[in-house]
Amino acid sequence: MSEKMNLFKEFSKGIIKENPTFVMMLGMCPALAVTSSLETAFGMGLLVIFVLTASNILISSIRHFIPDNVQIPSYIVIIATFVTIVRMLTQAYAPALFDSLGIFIPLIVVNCIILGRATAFASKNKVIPSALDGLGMAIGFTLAISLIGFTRELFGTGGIAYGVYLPLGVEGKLLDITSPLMNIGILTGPAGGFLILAIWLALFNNVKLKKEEKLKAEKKRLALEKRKQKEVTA
Amino acid sequence: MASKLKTTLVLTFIGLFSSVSIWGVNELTKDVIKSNQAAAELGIYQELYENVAYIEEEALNEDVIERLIKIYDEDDTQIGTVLSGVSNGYGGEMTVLVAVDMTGTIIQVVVGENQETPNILGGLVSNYLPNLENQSLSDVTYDASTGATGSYNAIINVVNASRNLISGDPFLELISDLNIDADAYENESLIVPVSEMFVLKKDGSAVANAFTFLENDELITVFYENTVLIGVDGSDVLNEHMGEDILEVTSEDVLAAKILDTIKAISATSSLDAEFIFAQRPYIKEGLIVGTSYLGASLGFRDDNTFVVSFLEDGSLDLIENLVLSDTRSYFEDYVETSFESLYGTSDFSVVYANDAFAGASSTGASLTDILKEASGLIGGNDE
Repeated sequence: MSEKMNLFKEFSKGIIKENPTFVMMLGMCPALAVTSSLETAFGMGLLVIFVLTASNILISSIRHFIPDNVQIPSYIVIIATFVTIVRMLTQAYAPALFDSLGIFIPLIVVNCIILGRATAFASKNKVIPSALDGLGMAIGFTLAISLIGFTRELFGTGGIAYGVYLPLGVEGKLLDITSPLMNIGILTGPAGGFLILAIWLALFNNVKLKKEEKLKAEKKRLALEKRKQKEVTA
Repeated sequence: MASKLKTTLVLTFIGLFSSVSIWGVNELTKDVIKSNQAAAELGIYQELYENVAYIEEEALNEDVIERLIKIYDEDDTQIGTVLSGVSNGYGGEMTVLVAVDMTGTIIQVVVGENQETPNILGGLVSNYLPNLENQSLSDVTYDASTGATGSYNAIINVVNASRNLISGDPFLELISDLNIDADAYENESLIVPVSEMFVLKKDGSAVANAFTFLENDELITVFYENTVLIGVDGSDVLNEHMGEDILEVTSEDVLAAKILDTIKAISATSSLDAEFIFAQRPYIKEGLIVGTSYLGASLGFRDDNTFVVSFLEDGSLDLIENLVLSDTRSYFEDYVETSFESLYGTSDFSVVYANDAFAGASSTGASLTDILKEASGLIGGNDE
């Protein structure tokens, strides 16, 4: 039971508690560059899910055989292989997403989340925990950039389009709101990426700080109660 | 030693795994990627032309124009031509696409891959390239001042190269592809009895030739440019191409090969390696060979101007036709052409030799002077 709990922890930690984007501040480049729409952000997330999970599995499987002095080059080659595979698959089956993500697909090779998880986790743990760690972290990254993409697209264009970049077979708009507040063009531009990322970081930090303050207050209250009890017994 | 061997084996395994995986996925996806790319390119042409069904691409061995793309509709009818060229801009090589319709009119000039300053090129593309649209490629004029000389010159260079390549003829076939037999016109058996000949002009420039003959009591009209068959009969497309109704005749009963041979025979262009004159052909008037025509090109004010100067057998000048004009048309027509027309009928060109400013002290006039001087020397009427 506890092993199952541990595995669930490995999987879930990356989603909120150790979210790569909002908590660990990793993978900022794609978080800013490909989040002008929800679909491109989600598409990038899917690619990272494949690359991170696959590379974690392979690195973990051969971790005992890779000598220390060639660890980083080996990891880079493995990650680059999966990125090349994902690049070709995207170019073949999601050409609009491929055109939209452009240079940011090959740049997944140097995404610090992937290399970071390879060196910090997969190289030291068994295959299943490594796979779950990679999957959880990648899902956390996907959710984070999708959230940024959703906000930018919604407030930048007044709607959320689907089927434009991903091969869904249907094309349309999920939301279509006509309001001057929902047509802030700057949000879909580069400056909008920084702005929305900053707002979401501020919100996350606010929640985090409030939790920490609550925890501190609770600790203080417990300490105070403990002291009072001591005084009563004395 | 053992650790080195281990390192080697591990790296070999990783290398092999990478190679095999990438090869496998490449095999799986390469055809799909290729068809995606073709569809994407077709999409670009579909924005430029209506009812695009497919394209035919031809790689060219030219200095500037690298690719020629013929656009077809669902009825297999060619509806346009796109010429893709590379020229040096301000920041380096620049790819430019020139899309023309079947009347030789520029639909759009598109700047592709380039290393130009984005803001400057953006201004050029939005402010000046639209001015090239709807102009005839053979008579295209450019904006004098664009503020982006390097980039604009590269565009001009590709547009000019496109014009020179197809000479405003979107039915394009390259003359060099035909392997003309220079002596063919001497073989009478190839020649059909020609009833009438025409020079077809558009906006004052000769764009093509036509001749008629009787075949099974039907009047057949054949259109050609140099030695290239454009079409037979007065089809609507041809009429549109020429900008006016030419003739309305119909006949299915035409031996294409015979006609092509006739075109070769009557135009029988043979190349000449002179300074300006690059070809000569028999000068045919009312169905008879009456002299010699010389085709020459010389640098005008902006770029090369191409002329045909035709002499009768007695060496007298009979006709000057402009094929490609890089310079201002109105200046050419008002000053240069009228001046040279005064020489029609003469075989004494001393006035041209004596005075280089015969047609006005202009580069346009000088280009025609160059060609006339050389041609008159070749015909034997005059020699400097």
